[in-house]
Amino acid sequence: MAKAWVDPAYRARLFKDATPAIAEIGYAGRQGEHIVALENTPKLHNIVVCTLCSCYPWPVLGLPPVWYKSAPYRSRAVANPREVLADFGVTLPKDTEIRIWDSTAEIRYLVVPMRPAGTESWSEEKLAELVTRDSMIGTGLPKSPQDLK
Amino acid sequence: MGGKHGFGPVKPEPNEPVFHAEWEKRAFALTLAMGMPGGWNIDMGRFARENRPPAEYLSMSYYQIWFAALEQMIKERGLVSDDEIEAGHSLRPPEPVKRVLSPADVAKTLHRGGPTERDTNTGAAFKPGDRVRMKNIQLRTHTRLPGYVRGHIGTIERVIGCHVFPDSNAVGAGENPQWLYTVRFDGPELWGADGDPTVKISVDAWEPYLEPA
Repeated sequence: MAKAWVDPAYRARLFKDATPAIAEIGYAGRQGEHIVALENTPKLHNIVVCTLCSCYPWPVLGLPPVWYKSAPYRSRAVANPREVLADFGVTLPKDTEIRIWDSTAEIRYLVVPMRPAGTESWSEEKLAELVTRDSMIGTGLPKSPQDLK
Repeated sequence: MGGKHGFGPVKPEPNEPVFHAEWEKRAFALTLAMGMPGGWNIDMGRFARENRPPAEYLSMSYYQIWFAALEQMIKERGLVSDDEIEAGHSLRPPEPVKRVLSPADVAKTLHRGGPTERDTNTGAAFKPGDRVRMKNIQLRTHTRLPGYVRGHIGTIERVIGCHVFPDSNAVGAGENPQWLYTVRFDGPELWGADGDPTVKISVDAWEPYLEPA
């Protein structure tokens, strides 16, 4: 994620075809055969779910947490995502479009969160400390610079 | 279960471990490893996990479901019998199997994964921007067509490619590759007039699930 924040060419490759772009930095394999990266913007927030069971991009995020596989998340993420975000302590502006990606096939989705404000001079290594698992599922936001203090 | 009510809030667990007990680790590893001698494919595995009475499905933990499905699949294939499960160890010589996952091959096998895209000579019936209705197919075997989109109208957002069709693959009817699309729906189309108009939902749907709208 941090690489996508600092390297425009890498970012372009990631959104064009995420599977080889992610393989470049060493992540590939089972349950990550066909990865698509989703771009969060000030107007659009992406959230990933698998209402059918538990599909999740193992090679990049590991195995899914219990809540991701639970009935509350699977039932509510598609119908009431703002309530689900509230369960995670996240509130988005009312006019932000929310896009839910139900992982019903073998395509695995990975959210690319927005780079936090106030990090303009930061290195890729330091930015990586701001990236959280939930921010790549869409149920969270990256940490802010204040969170690291 | 998309859109069903009454399950309560999502409860994230701070600093959650990958597994909550040793047996979960073992159930997970055994399920992946037994795919090779067992000879089932991923869609057969999914069907074995989901195809149980709803009350039972909802009251079991995730890895309890995995373990129950594993037990069922190895029993169905004659690799183990009830008395052996009861005894907790094998009581007779093992059945011959075609392939076994050796420890040395685990990393390589996981790295290789199981890509599902296939070559095809057929053209895709739909293109981005087309309006489609999700067919109301009530299959009793495995399907990836969620109940909450059946009968609803959406827009083709992306033509993904030609992929193994799970509805066929799960019942041993072959890979039967079909064109796969991302289909996007407006919130109110799925959830009625009170549906949040700022929410859009997409599913990935194979061509047999779709008809022109």
